[in-house]
Amino acid sequence: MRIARGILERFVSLDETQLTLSRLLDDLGIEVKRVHREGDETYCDLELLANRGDHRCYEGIAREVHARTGSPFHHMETKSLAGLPSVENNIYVETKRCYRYALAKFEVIKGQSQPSGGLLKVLNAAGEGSVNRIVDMANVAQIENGQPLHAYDAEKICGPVTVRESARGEVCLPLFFSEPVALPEGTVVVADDRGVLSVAGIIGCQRAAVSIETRHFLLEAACFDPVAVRIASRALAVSTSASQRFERGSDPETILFSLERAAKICEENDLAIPTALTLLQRGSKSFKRRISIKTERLAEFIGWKVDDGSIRAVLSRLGYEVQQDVDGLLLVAPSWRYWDVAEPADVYEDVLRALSYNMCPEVPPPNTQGSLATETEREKAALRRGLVAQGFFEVFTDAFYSLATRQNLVGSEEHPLWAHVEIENAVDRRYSLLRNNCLAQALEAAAHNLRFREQRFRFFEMCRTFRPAVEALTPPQEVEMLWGLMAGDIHDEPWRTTRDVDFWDAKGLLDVLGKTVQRKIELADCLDHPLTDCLHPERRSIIRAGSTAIGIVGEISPTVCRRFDMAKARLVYFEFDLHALLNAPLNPRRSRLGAARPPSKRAISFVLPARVEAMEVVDVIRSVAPPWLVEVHVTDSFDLPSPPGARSVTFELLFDNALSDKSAKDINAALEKLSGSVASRLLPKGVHQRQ
Amino acid sequence: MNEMEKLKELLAEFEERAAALETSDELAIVEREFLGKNSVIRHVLKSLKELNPTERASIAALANSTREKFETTIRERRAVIADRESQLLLTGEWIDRTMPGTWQRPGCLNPVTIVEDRCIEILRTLGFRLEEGPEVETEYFCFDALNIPKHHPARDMQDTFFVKGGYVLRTHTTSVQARVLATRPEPPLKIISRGRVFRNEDVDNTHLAMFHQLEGFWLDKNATFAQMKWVLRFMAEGLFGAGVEVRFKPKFYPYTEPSLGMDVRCTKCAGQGCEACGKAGWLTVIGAGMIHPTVLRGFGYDPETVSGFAFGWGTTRLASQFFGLSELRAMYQQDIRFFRSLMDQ
Repeated sequence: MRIARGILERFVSLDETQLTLSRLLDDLGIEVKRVHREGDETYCDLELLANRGDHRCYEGIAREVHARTGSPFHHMETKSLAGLPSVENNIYVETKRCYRYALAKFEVIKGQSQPSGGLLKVLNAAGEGSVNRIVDMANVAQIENGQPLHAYDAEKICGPVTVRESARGEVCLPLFFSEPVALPEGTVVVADDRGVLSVAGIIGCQRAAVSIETRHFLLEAACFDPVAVRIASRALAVSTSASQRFERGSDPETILFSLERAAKICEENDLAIPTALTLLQRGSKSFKRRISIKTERLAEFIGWKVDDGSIRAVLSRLGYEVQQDVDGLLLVAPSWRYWDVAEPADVYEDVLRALSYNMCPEVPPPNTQGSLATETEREKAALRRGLVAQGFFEVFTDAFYSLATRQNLVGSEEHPLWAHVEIENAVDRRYSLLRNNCLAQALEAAAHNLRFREQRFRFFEMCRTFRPAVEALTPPQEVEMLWGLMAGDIHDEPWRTTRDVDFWDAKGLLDVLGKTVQRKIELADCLDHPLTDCLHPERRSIIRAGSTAIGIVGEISPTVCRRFDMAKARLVYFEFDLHALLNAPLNPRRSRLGAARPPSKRAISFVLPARVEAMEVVDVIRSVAPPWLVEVHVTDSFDLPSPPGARSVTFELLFDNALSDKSAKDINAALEKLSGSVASRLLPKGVHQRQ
Repeated sequence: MNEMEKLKELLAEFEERAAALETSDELAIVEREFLGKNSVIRHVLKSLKELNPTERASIAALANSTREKFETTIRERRAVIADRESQLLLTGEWIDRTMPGTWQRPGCLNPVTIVEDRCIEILRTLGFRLEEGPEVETEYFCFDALNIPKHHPARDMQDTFFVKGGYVLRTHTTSVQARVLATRPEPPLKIISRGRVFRNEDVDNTHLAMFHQLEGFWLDKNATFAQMKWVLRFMAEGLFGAGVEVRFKPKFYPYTEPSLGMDVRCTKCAGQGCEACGKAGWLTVIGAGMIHPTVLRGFGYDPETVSGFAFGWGTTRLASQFFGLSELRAMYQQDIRFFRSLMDQ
């Protein structure tokens, strides 16, 4: 909404000794987005509070200024319509969603066809154009006092005027529409014998529109149910200044005043003379709420003792009827606040706003003892920091993707990841499905960077995946995941080295992450993880924490890379269930150096043919080792010239030496036994000790 | 040639050879030749006992002085050659120091997380603790429990993604507040929630379908508007520095009454008006308010005895202000160039 300072001053005097107009309005909650001058006039573009329909006019804004400053508030002049006969058309209100309804008939004064300068000034200030003299007059009246008015050409109306709800299949042709539209059944309409004259509170129809030829018009002022207007406005996808006001609640008691103000504008502009008036009220519903407030409670609630006189003064200026009660005030809220003032807290807000939020003191609350992060929060933060230290950047991907992305990733309905939680109403169809894995978006991230010839990247994200509910009436399952993706050279600056990251880098990273949170992360054969077929068949593993499979790691399958337009990319990916990791048993840190003597170290090398994994050797060693073997791990490996795939792998064994009860001879004997066991058990697979 | 002449000749030869020494390898050869087990001087010294006493003394003296001369000369030459060779070695190890360093560089957290962590750190000092809630939420916790009935204009402010099965993607983290209050905890209660929220709208430079919010609420026997203002200023000073200028203005949120917005004086232009603050000189950073009595009653609290305040902000927008980003989208596009540029700052 845009207002002109000069016009606002017709309603309230502006004293700027304290605050400029824009600061004053801001402070009142009428946010000034822009101030600009044109000629002698200053204009303010306003952003209004969503619940304050009454602010959508000069009178409403002036009332707020009046409440704050106490400057006199000026009502606009009216022309009384008392004593006029009823409109000759019978008028019926057949829906309870119209609370008040009035039609005043006017006879247009012949002679003039151009709108007057006074009307144009108000319209232009509001950023509205001129339509014709009658519509301009109605619009100006609304801009002044907020009551929407709608004009019908009286001679185009056939029979009685009825406010009713639309029948199934009923259509109408609204203004500015090129085709008739079907109205949802139950839409409140104003109709005559030939059908719909207007969609109530939203837009008129073409067949009864006023024009420069109009000689008699009916001016409608009404109060419609805000929800009814809102539903119809959404259904028709039409938003007008009238509908915006009605949706926020119009003033049910201002119907007659607004018509009398319109009559005055007509008179001032030699436009028309009122000749008839019918005013209907449905039911005896009161639109003035009675609220009791205790001033002590007000002081407790806002934490500021305001004297009773100030409270009474600002509330009176805001239109409340104020009476002293036994221990507080008995208030009658003004009818234009029927829709947003319902209880004491609303009144407290009015008092605070009128006095200024900035005047209220700031008081430190009690109970400000600090708190600590939980263990889970600390561990998540540690994982984030750990990944950052390893060169990863934290990204946020959308929680959803398109049907095409799913098709690209999993291909067919038989795939275990085909089932998704679906979004019913996405504006953008890229948001059709809630993700059930993180790989799809990791791949899109990779493709995006590779398109820009960025070959090296490390990304991670903590996010949720969504799985369809297993049982009816239960929500989709949300799983908090941590995923990471890496590609490109092992170093930031590849001018010294050229090796790209691979499976082992991811494995090492997972090991580091596990150590960061003191959980043992191990890898195992891929069996039934839903992403198994998206990863390289020879370079993928299940991630385990304790005895639980928590995720998957591996190089992305070249087939999948091709489907995402990355023919030559080597991408290494992992994802795991974050909570499953953090719920795994702690692997407490223990220092062996704390013992009286450090462990004794021995090394042993085996030749392993292709497809025999080092872990098989470790498993055999562990199975036959004495209890004082504390650790076995690989320390070296190199490829042998033949046969293809064969390599020599060196294992380091640590023997507990704390009690000093094992001699070198004992340890060497144990080592010999271990190597013999490996050689005999794995000989069928071609494993033998390297001399 | 007698022994005396032989030694003199040997000394002369040594001096000539020693003067020509260039490398430590050559030095080793000369050392071995003139001082080694099979050297002439060793041979002379070994054969002294075969000489008559008169000759022995004079030849022994000459042999010893010659050997000392050899040793001294070789020691001196060794030092010179070692220096020279060191110098050569170092010169040969010249590097271009202007090439980029190669140590593993850290990545970085998303700006949104950095800002969120900072906010949480500040709020923890007041005793707030973090709670989480689902992103797929019921309409009850997302709207109805928060005084936003169907067809309320506020639902327009938050165009919603509807999920099959009668759920929505949460439009604000206030749903976590509702979930916590539904467990009917006894006050005092100080809760923060952070996370992703969703709006069903077209994406452009300043609008996203998914972004981040952070929210806190404080429920107590006598929480007041004045206390809320104090907490908000504390928050602003924690984020923007002590002495930051703030102002409060009325706002509307359906779940709070009274509601307010807190502006801070634009730190970029010091209030003069710039692109970052839309020429206003002020930036609205936090929305807040006293928890609406309808919300409290809905969860079984009596608003006459229990009150509270809630506050929240878009951490996405706050992060864009902190990092001087003109496009919110950059934080949600996985473009390595953007993230590297953050590290360059």
